[in-house]
Amino acid sequence: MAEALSSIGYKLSHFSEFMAMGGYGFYVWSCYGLGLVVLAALVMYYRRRLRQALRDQVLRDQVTSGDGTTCA
Amino acid sequence: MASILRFYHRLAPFWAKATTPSAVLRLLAAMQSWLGWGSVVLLAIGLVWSLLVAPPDYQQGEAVRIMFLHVPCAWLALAIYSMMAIMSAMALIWRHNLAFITIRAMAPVGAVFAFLCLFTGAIWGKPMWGTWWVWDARLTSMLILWFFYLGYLALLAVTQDRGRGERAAAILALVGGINVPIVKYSVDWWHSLHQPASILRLGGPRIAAEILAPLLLMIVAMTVFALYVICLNLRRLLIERKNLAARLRQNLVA
Repeated sequence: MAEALSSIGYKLSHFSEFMAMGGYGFYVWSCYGLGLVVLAALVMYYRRRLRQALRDQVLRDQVTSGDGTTCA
Repeated sequence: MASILRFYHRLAPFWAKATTPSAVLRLLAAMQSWLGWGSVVLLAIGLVWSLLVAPPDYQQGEAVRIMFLHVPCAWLALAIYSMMAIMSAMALIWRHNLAFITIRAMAPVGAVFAFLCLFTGAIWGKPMWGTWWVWDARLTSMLILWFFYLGYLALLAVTQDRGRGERAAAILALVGGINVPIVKYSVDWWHSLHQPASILRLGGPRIAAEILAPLLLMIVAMTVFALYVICLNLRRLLIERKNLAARLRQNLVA
């Protein structure tokens, strides 16, 4: 644990060295960047679709009154 | 096989009660926030460990960090497709609606992971092998896996009749199952630039503990994340279907 924390501290205090990734910075960061963008888009898309479906469900329940007759 | 069937039929009444849309929707709603927050916490720890703590590889240097993203994506692309193929067989045999709709919910998630696996693999290949792409067995069979995902989604998208479309797509998913062991064992069966299996192999993992631990954590974290997205999507599909049925009923009444 102490070793891990000192490693984190070292990397963050030598930030440009950390970003350079020993010369592989472009490759490493383009992988992680693309992964982040694609997975964030995936989550946001399906969260929105779920919200829409839940909203439609609420609207439907409001339209259908208690005795099962519709007033739409 | 006969005893499996007998077991299934004895369980059938309980199974039928547990798999009604409303019971499944309750379960999914309860699971959703656990999976969501679980993936946030696990991914945060996993990413810090992968990027800031894990040591560089003695051959690959810092480029080895691409593995912490690439391997979980490959695992999920294969695991999700395997589940889809198994559930397709079950869905076609027992005609269970929930199985068809679950496969439908998993497919786009698996397709995204297959794409990310290919993409991160190409970026990793450039500095390590000197090329973005080679037509060798591992890479080609993985590309075919991605095409099976896309074919499944395209078949669902173009069929008008939902039931027929789902059955046709399930047959495609089942046929594509033959490709899964080919992807997994391609590195043993053919010469490949790709390195051989280093985690799931006879004789245990062949990888240093300092790198294996964050890799396993990232695999678990990404799996929880994938389950979260599948949970969202399955919930959405089930609610949309309920809404559609209710609209049709209303139109009949009105």
